[in-house]
Amino acid sequence: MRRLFVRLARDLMLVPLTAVLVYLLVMHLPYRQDSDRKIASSEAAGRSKLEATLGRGGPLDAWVPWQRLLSGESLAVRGERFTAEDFTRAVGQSLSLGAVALGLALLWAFAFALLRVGLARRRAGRVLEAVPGLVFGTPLFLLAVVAALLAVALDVTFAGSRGLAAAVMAVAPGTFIGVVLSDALFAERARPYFVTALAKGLTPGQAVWRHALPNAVPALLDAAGPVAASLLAGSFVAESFFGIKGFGLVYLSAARNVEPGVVVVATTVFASLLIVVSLFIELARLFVDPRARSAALEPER
Amino acid sequence: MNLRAKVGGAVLVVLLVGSATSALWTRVGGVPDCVFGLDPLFPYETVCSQTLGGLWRSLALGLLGGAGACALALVLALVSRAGGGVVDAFVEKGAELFFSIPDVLVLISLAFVARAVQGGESVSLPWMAASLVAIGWAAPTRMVQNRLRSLDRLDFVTAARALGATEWRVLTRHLLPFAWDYVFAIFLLRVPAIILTESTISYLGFGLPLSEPSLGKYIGDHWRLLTGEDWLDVAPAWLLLVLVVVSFHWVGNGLLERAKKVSP
Repeated sequence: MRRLFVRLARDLMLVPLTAVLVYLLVMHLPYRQDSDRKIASSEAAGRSKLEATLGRGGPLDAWVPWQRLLSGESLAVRGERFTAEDFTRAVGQSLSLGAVALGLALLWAFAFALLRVGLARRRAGRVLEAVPGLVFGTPLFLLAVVAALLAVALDVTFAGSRGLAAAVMAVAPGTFIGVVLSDALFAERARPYFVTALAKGLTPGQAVWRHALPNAVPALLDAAGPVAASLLAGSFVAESFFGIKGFGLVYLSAARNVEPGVVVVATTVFASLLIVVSLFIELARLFVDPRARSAALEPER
Repeated sequence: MNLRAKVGGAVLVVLLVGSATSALWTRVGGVPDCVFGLDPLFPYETVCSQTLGGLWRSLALGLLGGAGACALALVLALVSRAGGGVVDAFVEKGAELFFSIPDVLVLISLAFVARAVQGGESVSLPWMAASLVAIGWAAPTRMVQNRLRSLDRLDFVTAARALGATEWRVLTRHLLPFAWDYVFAIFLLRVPAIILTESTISYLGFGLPLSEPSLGKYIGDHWRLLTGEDWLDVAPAWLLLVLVVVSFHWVGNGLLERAKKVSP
């Protein structure tokens, strides 16, 4: 367990570093390419307002946006007001949408992997092999367009449109996890213990379910970590198509309008989310994989 | 290499040659008119010329971005291996730090810099390729670093060190020859990821100009046509994008399997 905590502590150090790096990047961005004097002077005035609100752009000023947020002030310097309440609401929207998307992605991943393994060397299996290529080769916004058209054609409710948004977000990550899981299942099927299980009279389905699947789950966890973090952080494409004001959309509009305060706070939250998800994945690994459990309990040399 | 990788490779060669020479075809007489007609948003061009031009630009961006990212990754991994200790940890944590910054932020920031430096609302192709290198180096660096680490533990490397080989000799004569195939496979798998990232950033309006679109930019600008009668104008670009991504995946995975088998 000590190793886990040491790793967690090391990862946590990345959060303030990320905040500083992003603050430096966004505070020093050029805002206008126009050399017109009026615009230049208004930009100079804007920059001085920016520095008065969010610090002078030095590494130690990276905490100013957080201080403003925690004291209840608005983070936005150009666009509409943006307070801690707005931020919490956006994160909540994305987390709930991302959680549904993650559930759907895992469900689709299991179904895809079991189908791919079950139908291997059959004609239907060959058709299934085309699915990853089609999914990975389709940009998310195109999938969102098709889903949005479907939503309009079927006149779906608000909850239905959120479900469709989650489904759009889940397709590519679910297929990715499904491919990783099915590859791991194929590898497990070639091992002697699996052949022994079949020789003892288990059906292929029973052998996969009871023996191969538990051994393939660690591979699923390896793939699920980054996927879970990106899903929970929201998708600006799905959110913009389905009109959900979540974290992804807030982030995109902040980056577009060069709102350093919002960008710094949002990136820090994103980095923290990555660490929390990776901690959950490590705990899940300890729970499902006895090898990981015994390695964690072993004394360090 | 397996059959799928060979098919993917053949398709890629056809697409590369076809897209690179597409400008020549249109000048040579006897070529039938484009069945999809004129581009509704840019009526000086046909859907076919826009799509084939887009294919060329997407492939150029993918190959340049992928090659740049993998070259940078290889250099960083070699430096970290040669430096060991603190340098190794610094490169590793640097890549991890970069993972926690969303790609969209880096690309939009670089687009702002491009607008300030070059003027105009869009980004030039070389700038876009450089931006894609800037976001694409972290994952290949970790992969090559891990590969070199696992090769470093092998007996022949220990033997070479025991015989007095310098760190540079170990790297160039013993580790690199076994890492090339792997790096090339990573490069081929990076290309489709870069093409798709570019398509998303173009959809957000921070990509190439409308007059010189990539496949992603073309789809991003024309997606509204899907709701009307002109939906077929988007289909060729979409199909080509799927074909490119699938072909690169097939060749990349084939090479990756071979690299794992050939390695000691």
